[in-house]
Amino acid sequence: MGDLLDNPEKVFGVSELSGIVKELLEEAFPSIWVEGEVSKALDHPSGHLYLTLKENKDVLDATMWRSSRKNLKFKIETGMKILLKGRMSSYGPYGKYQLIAERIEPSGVGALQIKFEQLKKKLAAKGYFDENRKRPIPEYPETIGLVTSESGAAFRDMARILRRRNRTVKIILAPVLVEGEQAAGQIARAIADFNEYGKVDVIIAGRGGGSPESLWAFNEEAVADAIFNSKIPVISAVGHEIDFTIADFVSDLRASTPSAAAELAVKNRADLIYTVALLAKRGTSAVSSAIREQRQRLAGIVRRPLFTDPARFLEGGRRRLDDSLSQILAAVKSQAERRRTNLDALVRHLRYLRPSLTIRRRADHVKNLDERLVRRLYAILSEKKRALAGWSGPLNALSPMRVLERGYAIARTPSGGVVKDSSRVAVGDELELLLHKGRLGVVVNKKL
Amino acid sequence: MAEEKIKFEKALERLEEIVGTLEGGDLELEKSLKMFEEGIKMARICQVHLSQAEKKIEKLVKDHKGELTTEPMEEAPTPEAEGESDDDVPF
Repeated sequence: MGDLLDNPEKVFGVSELSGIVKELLEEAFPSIWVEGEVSKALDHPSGHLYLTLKENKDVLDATMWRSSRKNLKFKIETGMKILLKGRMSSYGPYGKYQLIAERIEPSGVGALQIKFEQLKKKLAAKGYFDENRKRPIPEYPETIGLVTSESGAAFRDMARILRRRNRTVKIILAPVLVEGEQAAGQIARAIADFNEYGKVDVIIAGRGGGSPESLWAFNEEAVADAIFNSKIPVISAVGHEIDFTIADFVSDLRASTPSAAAELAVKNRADLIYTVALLAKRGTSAVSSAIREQRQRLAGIVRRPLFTDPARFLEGGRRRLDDSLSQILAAVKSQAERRRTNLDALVRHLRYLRPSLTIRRRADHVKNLDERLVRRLYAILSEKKRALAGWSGPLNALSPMRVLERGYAIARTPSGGVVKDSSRVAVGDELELLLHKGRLGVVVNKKL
Repeated sequence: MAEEKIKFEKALERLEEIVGTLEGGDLELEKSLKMFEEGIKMARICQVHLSQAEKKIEKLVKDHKGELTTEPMEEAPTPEAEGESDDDVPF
C-alpha cells in the first residue's frame, strides 16, 4: 500500500480509494476508547443505534450494531457525555468515517471502567477467578468475621440478621473505612488480620450500596490479593445488585448485599433445631422399627409348634417315626412277600415235579417187581415141586436112606467127606459109619 | 475427642450419617443400638451448641504487644425481636 501512495502519478478510482481508506482506518484503530458528548441519537427500528458525538466544532459518527446494542444498560440521550469502545471504519456509500461501537459507558466512570477491565483481565489471567480454587463456605460457621465500616448500615444490617438467625454465632468486626484513599488498604489488611487471628470460620467483606466511585475500593488489586490469599473463605457483600466488583469475582461466594450475605452465611437456628430434632426422630424410628422387626421375628419363632406345643411337635416327630417304621416294615414285608411268592412258585414247581410221586411210583415199581419176582419164584417153586413130586418115586428108590434100609452103610471122614476110595484113607483114620438107624465111629485097622 | 469439643457441624454430619445408616436397615440390632446411642449423643451435642447463650459482638483489635485479639463492642447493634422462645430445643 505504501507503494501506491508513493506513486504521485497514480490515479485512484473512488471505490478503490474508499476501500483503501477503510482498510487504513480499520488497521490503525482496531480497538479504542473515545469520549464525547451526544449531539444526536437515533434508535433505529432495526435495533441499530446511530449516534453523532461532538466536541467543540468536531463531530464523529458512531454506530452500534444491534448485537452490541442489546447489552447497553442505559439510555443514550442528547447532551450526555459518554465513553465508547470500538473500532474505526468508513462507509463507502456516504464517504464518511465512523466509530463502530461495541460498548458505551456513561462518561466519568469511564476511566475507572477501563482500569477495572484491565485489572479484571490481569487477575483472570492469574487464575484469581477460577472456580476450582474457590474455598467451600462452611455450612455451620460458629464465628463470623465482618470487614466493613463500624458506623455503616451494612454492619448494623449484618449484625442484626446474623443474631436473629442464630444468636449462638459469634460475630467479630474488623472495622475499616470502605470509601476513600485508605479504604482498599484497610480492607486488605483486615482480611489478612482475620487470617492471622485464625479463629474465624468465614469472612464477610462489604458495604452498602453507593455510586460506582464509592464502591471502588472493592475493585482494587490490594483487596483482590487479600481475598485471593485468604485461607478463610470470603463472602463479598458490596451493595450493588447489578454490577460485579473485582472482589465479587475473587471471593468464594458473592452476595448482592450485606443483608443477603448474612442470610447466606448463617442458617436459621430454629431450622437447625428442627433439623436436629427431625434427625433424632428419624434415628429413633429407624431403631424402633429394627427392634420391632426383630421382636416380630422372635414372636414368629416362638409361635412355632416346637415352643407353643412341644407335645404336638413330639407327636409329629413320633408320627414321622411311626411312618418311617411303617415304611420300613412295609418294605420288609413286601420283600418277604416277594420272596414268599418266589418260594411258592418254586414249591409249586417242585410240586409239579412231584418227587414223592416219583418215589412212590418207583417204590410201586420196585414192589411190583418184587411181587412179580416172588410170584415167579413161587411159580418156579411149585413147578419144581410138581416136577419133584413126579420124580420122588424113582428118587426115593435111589435115596441113600433106602439103600441103608437095605443094609448098606456110608463111610464119612470126620470132615464129612464120603469115603469112596480106600486109598483115600489111611490105617488108623477114624471114620463115621452112617447106618440106616444110627451112626458108628470106627477106626481103620486094615486095608483089604 | 471430648464431647464438648466436637463442633456443631461435625456432630450434625455424624448424626446425619448415623440416621442414614440406621434407615438403611442393614445393620445387626446390636450395632444399630450402639449407633443409635452415638446418634443421641451427637444430637445432644448439637442441642448444646444451639442452646448457647447469645454471643456478644466483638471487635478485632491489637493489644499493647501488637497481637490480634478481640474485645466486646460497647455499642453493639441489638437484634430484632424474636418470635421464638429461648428453650425451644425439643429433646
